[in-house]
Amino acid sequence: MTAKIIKLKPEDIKINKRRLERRVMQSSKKIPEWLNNEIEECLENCKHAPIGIYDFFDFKINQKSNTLKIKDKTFYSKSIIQRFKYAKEIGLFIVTVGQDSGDKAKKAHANNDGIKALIYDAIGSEYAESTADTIHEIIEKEKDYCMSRYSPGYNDWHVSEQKIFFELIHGKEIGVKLTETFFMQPEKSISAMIGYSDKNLKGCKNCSKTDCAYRKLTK
Amino acid sequence: MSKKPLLTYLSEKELDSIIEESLKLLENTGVYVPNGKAKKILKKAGAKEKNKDTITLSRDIVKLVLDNHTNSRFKLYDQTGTKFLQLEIGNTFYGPGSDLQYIIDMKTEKPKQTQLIDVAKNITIIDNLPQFDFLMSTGLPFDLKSENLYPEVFKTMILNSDKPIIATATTVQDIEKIHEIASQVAGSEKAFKEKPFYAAYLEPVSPLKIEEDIANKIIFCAKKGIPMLFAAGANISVQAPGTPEGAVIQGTAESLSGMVLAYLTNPDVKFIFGANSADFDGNKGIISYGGPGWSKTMAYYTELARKLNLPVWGAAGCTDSNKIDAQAGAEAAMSLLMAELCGATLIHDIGYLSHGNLTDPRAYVFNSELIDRVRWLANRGLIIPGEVIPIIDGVKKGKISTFLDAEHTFENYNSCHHPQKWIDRSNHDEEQKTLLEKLKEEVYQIWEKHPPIIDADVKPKRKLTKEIKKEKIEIKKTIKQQNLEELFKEDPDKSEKVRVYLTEKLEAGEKPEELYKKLVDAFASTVQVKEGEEVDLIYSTAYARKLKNVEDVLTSQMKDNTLEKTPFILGTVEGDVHYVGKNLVAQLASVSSYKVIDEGLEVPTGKFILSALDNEACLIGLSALLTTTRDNMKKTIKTLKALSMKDQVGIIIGGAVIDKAYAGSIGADAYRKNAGEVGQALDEMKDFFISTYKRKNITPKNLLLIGESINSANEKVKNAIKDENEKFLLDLAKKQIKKGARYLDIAVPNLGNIENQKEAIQWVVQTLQRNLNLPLCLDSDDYRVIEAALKVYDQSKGSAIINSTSLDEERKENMVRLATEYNSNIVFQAADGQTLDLKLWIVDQFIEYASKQGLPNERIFIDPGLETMAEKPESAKLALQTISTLKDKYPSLHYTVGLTNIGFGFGELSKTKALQQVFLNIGRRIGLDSAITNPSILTYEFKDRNKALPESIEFIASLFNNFTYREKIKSPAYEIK
Repeated sequence: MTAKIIKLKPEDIKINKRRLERRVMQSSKKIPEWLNNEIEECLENCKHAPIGIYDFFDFKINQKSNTLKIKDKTFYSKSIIQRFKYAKEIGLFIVTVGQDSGDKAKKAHANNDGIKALIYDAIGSEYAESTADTIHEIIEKEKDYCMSRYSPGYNDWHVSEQKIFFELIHGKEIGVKLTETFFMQPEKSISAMIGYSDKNLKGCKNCSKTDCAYRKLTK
Repeated sequence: MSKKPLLTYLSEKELDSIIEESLKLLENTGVYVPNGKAKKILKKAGAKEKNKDTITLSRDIVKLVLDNHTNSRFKLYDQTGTKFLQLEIGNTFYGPGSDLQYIIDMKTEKPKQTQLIDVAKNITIIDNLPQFDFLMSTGLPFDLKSENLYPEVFKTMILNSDKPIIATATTVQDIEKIHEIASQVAGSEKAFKEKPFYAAYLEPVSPLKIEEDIANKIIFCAKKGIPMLFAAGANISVQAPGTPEGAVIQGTAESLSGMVLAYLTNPDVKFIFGANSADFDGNKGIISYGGPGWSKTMAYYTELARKLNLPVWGAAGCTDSNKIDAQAGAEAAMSLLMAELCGATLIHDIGYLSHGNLTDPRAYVFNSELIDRVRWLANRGLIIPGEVIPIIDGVKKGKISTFLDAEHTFENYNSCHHPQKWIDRSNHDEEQKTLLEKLKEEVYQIWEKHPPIIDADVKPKRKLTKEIKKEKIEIKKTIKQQNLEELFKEDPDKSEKVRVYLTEKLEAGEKPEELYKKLVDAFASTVQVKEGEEVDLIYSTAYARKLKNVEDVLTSQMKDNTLEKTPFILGTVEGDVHYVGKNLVAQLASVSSYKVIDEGLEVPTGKFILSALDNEACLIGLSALLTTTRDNMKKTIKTLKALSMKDQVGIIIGGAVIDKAYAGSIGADAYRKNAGEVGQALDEMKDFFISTYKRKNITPKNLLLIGESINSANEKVKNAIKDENEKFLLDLAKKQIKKGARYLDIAVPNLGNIENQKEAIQWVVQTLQRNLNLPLCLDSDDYRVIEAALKVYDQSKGSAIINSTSLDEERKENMVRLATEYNSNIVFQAADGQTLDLKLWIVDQFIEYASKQGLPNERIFIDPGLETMAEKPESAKLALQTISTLKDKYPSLHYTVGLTNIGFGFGELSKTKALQQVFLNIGRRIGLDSAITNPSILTYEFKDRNKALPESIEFIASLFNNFTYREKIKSPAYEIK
């Protein structure tokens, strides 16, 4: 199959307001009214252009050399091998919400407004995450059990493998490029590998990230 | 996100095809534009004049506008500038219509011609019905002269309500007058532009005509920042094709043509999309206002607007009936529900009767409850799992007698059953007032409480400078009872009181520096975290912003550099681009006592160290968010150690992948999980590092550069001395002095036997000292040559440096003797000894001997010996270690190196120079206070300094540490300017 591109409308992305609030305010206290007003204001000002691209691949795992091979590209990472050894097929996807929130965060920082910078950044992250969730759901409709997603840069999966990741799935088709040091531009973008299997393996139990904002909510 | 269900008629494909058809209309048929100015604007963007005054707009132009306009949502403020309507697709706001010629007289209950007082009365009613969000004129008064009609009506709206306005006007002069009034209300044109409170309702003539005056109005509004709509009356079968779909294609093209002209006039234009495409009744020959066609086309326009991402115009709440009756109710209710469910933005014409000819004051009250009802219908409630089961359970088991008794019912009653005013729910046998009676009562009540006004002067409605001053006086009163700390703590998002407080104190004569200190203390105490409390970074950040927002009151009054802040270098490590945490640290540290030098993202180790050198900084903060990049922190620390700088540079690290264990394992001095605590950590560690730095650091100004050029190893110099070429010698000396040399080294090693050398050196010393006013460094291994030089040395030019001695008995004894006899300084060569311990032992031996001979430490220069780095990098490392260690042990000794040596063997001159400059700068940080070198070394400018020097630092470190160094040192960054 060839890669599919999904263009979403900003209103298709349902963000989790509580999760956004937690991104802005790390403690579990109730957010104050003034902050809530500023969040609302920033939400109004942000223009998102959510879009994603995904494709499925056959793959081979070599547990001895800790490699996962798709086509002629080889990924080296113990953690992805552990994660995807039960998968039947591998999906790669890239999503982005565009440049606006990142630009606004930087501008706010330049204006010495750390609050707005933090909020815009959080909004960008939240939209990116929700966009990834939405694409994930779309993929889930195509495949039975999708496992939770995993991104280059997590654990021992070196971020430089973004290079071959982007050779397998062309981020530039949705406007995402890599910097020399393998970071995505626009920065509010997510690249991830997902697997699908016969068993449901999703959830926090399979994730080693213990200080994630989402985990706090699902406790 | 919306809690509202949204009605959808058209598929994506159908929407695309409507847009496509509209684009074709604009591209091929074109728009009639007889206005020269407008034509010029359009043509400049690439539009073509197909026939005279017919302009075609290519899809590229239209798409450029649609893709680049920035106001897909904007605020329409009320007149006071305090509240606003957020105009965007999905938010629905209601208002009346405009320009009706007839109105039902409340006394006679018969239609009459509209008068200005009727407009005032209608607006009063609408102002007092919270369901109405904006105003339109409602009437076209017969008692006004036409040239001033629209401005007068606008004024009347302003006199009777503060709500936002959609203004109609015929000519551009009307709009100009209206805008004058509006600017007066807002305080100024600028104040209006910041918070516009009216939008202009502009209309093309269908099909596709932007007449002369209409174009002028568009251009005027766009320039003045007046939001606008350009809604045609593209009514089905009359001014537009005979199907709703066909009419919408034309209406879309017409609306877009106005938007294009407005955008090209001012790209910041605030534009409301849409048109009016209502039904035509062929039997009666009227355009129907209550028929279903208009609602349907409104839904189409709204769906298009969702796709185009623009707020959209709509209409509802009107009827073709001549009175408020069942038909009026049915038509109004149906259209209002359509408006709410399709999510059109501005819904006008509420209260229109008789297909747009008549209104009735009661119609506004009548519609207000319908608006409430459709809003209630469109709003999904909350489904809260577990909420109702206990109540149902309670009633079933008899714990609660009925649901009416349940607390839950009371809590929710008002939100589920909003109060009704005229809806009749009486029993058939109850005596009841009729609907019209009830509405009339309400109308009269409103008029009684709020008498309508005409013929009064318009006054500014927004706060003027005077009032702000008054408010400040109020604040001044309250702040008298509070101290700065209390005031600062009060509202994290408001800074006005603190500003006033600081201004007051300045006026009372307090010093800005002292106030600033108090302000920083107030910040510190506000954000201080009590033990066991959860940290809220957001508060620290908000208060940091607050401090930044007020500090200019003080800093503007301070003399330059009176604020002594500790430099703190900050950056995200090489390979990492995360910045949020780092930026927060920057902001928080900068509001307290730190001058943050933010090196940004992907900062290589060499750049951090260069920045510490350049900024005389003792604190570096490293941020990393990836496990794959965090080891660059380790590299930086290891490099500082290799360069012997670690004892005077404190490192704090942070980032999501960092924890205490990691910080400890790489030898970081501090780690904080939370950006808010970094300042505290810096406070704790800075004193130690600053004191080491102060003890060891030599400023560039205090660095003694000894020019090395007069050395007979150089053929030209040798010949000059042989020939006693005075001019050559003096030129060479002067050149070095000009470049910063404060001593000149003289070496005559290859000028024959000892007697020849003695003669030569004496000639050089005498020639130089006769002509120049500076001391000399006499360079020879043989004490007899030195002695000869000293014999002719002019002490009045400053004491000489004897260069040099070693531990060799004869040489040592004689050189030290000469130094004491001739009151000279002496360089001790500690080149021997390949370990630090051995070098230290050698120096100890010499110091002990020299002190016994009465030579004080202040007159001894230690040269740890520097060999070429290409061959023996460990000698440079050892040199730095030796200086750093000895500086602690013998603070009054001097240190020097023969700097030129280290660069030999690298080939390129520029690379060599970068190495020398960097090495000297590192050296002076740890105590190296002199160097025998080319004196221009410190002032070399490289083509790309920020690349060349960090690379050089890393190169040195890589040699010291056996790092695998990437071969990028060949890059052109080394070119000297």
